[in-house]
Amino acid sequence: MWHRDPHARSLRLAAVIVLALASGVIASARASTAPASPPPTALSSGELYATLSSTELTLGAATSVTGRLAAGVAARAGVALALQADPYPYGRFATLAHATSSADGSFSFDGIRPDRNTRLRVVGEGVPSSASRVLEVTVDPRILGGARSLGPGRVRLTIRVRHAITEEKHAAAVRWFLGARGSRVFRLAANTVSRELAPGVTYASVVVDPPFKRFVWRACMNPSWEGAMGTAWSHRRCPEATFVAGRDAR
Amino acid sequence: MRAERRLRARRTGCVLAASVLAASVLAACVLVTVVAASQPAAASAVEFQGEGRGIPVAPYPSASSIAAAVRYLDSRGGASGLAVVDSTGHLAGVRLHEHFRTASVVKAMMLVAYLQMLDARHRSLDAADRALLYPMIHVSDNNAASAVLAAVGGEALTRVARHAGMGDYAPAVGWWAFTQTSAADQARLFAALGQLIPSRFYGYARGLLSGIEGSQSWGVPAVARPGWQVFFKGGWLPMEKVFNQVARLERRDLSFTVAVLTSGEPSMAYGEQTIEGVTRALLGGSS
Repeated sequence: MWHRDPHARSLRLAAVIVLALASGVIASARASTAPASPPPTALSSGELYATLSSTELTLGAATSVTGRLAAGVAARAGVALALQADPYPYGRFATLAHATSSADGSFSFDGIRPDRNTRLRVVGEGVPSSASRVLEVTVDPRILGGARSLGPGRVRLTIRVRHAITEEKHAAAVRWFLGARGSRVFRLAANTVSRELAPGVTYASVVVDPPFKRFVWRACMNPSWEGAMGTAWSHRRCPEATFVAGRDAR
Repeated sequence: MRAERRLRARRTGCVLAASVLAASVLAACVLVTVVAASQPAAASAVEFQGEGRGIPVAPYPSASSIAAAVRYLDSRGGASGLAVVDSTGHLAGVRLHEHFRTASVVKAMMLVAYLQMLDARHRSLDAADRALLYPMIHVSDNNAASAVLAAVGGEALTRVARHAGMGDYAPAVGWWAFTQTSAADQARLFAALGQLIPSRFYGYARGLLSGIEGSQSWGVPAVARPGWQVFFKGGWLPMEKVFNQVARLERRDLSFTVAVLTSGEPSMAYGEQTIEGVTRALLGGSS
């Protein structure tokens, strides 16, 4: 018969901790003497916790994955870990970087610069079943816009978009809208098409008649690479005519 | 007993793991909240908004030119309506929404409807299409117009009217030339031709509307050319004393549309003079 003796439980728990610490020390010693061979781990599902420093990035910006091993993992220091990435259109994780856990079981993968929406996870090296939960990074294209007056009744508007390089290279229709400053009503001023200046760089321009001395303008397009970037809700169709911008619009 | 102990130990482990997990989730939630708060609202993936500065050009024709055209029109006999969609898209004129019979100016709507039909069927223009559209516009052939209307159906004209914002349009009772319209409707239609006509047919339509036979090129084109490119359609019902013309005028980056609809004019020559006088007033000597 098993007794519910708190003292006996404490003793057993202490013994377990001592054993765990001892095995950790042994593992550290092994790691220092034989760095070429990573220490064996006993990682299993649910023992890796990871978070992203930023879940949404502009193309070119970096994010970090940090985390730690669960308290119950026997060898928390020097555990070989791999960061795996599954970029859009998803379907296959591949190893992106390697790291080892520090003495307190924490780890970090820095300077991760995905070029499109990507799913990330951390796994123990050689132990695929030990994966952390999947972390999703949304990558927005980097858009630069410009407006330059060319004289009375003529303003050139331009947009240059850096985006993911995809195999599809179709010119996209670009709709240009003009409105008064402070107004949410945007009138369709012109339709043009974009062109790819270089892989991953799309450009579009138009000359418009400015409706006011100072005005606001919008350019909108639905390019072929749209699905690879941005949040899902942003993948709506561009307005086809005059529209009233929502309050969330910038 | 050993099995029971293992079970207990596993339970204790589970409690510990759950505590650690809960703490981690809490920490992660706090982290995510902080990150979310420090980021701007997500923007559309391929949408950009900016501010610009420029020098807006004054609307053309000017308000004073339109007023002069109105004064001239009011000095003429018969009933009339004048509408101008100026270069900034603003509608002005007189008796903008008064109803008139279209006569043959409705053929511009038929042209739009026919080209939209071809586009919807993913068809290109073939010889049979051209054999209908060219005479209908070039010499205002009525038989061709009837055939076009039979092909597109009356509902297609209603659709064109709706898309062009022609609020005064009413289908004809009897002959298509009795279609009801207003000067505002017609000026809006010609201002929206670029949006209404499928882009692959727009050049063809412009060619037709700017290449109307010389004997029918009275009124606006007679005054505005050669300074302006004029795309137009005239219509007349001599028995009804109806003389109408609708035109789109373009010069470099400038464009505007004008519609003059009349009834009760004493003669065709008088009607032509009325429309030419209005055009002179609008252009103010700039033709």
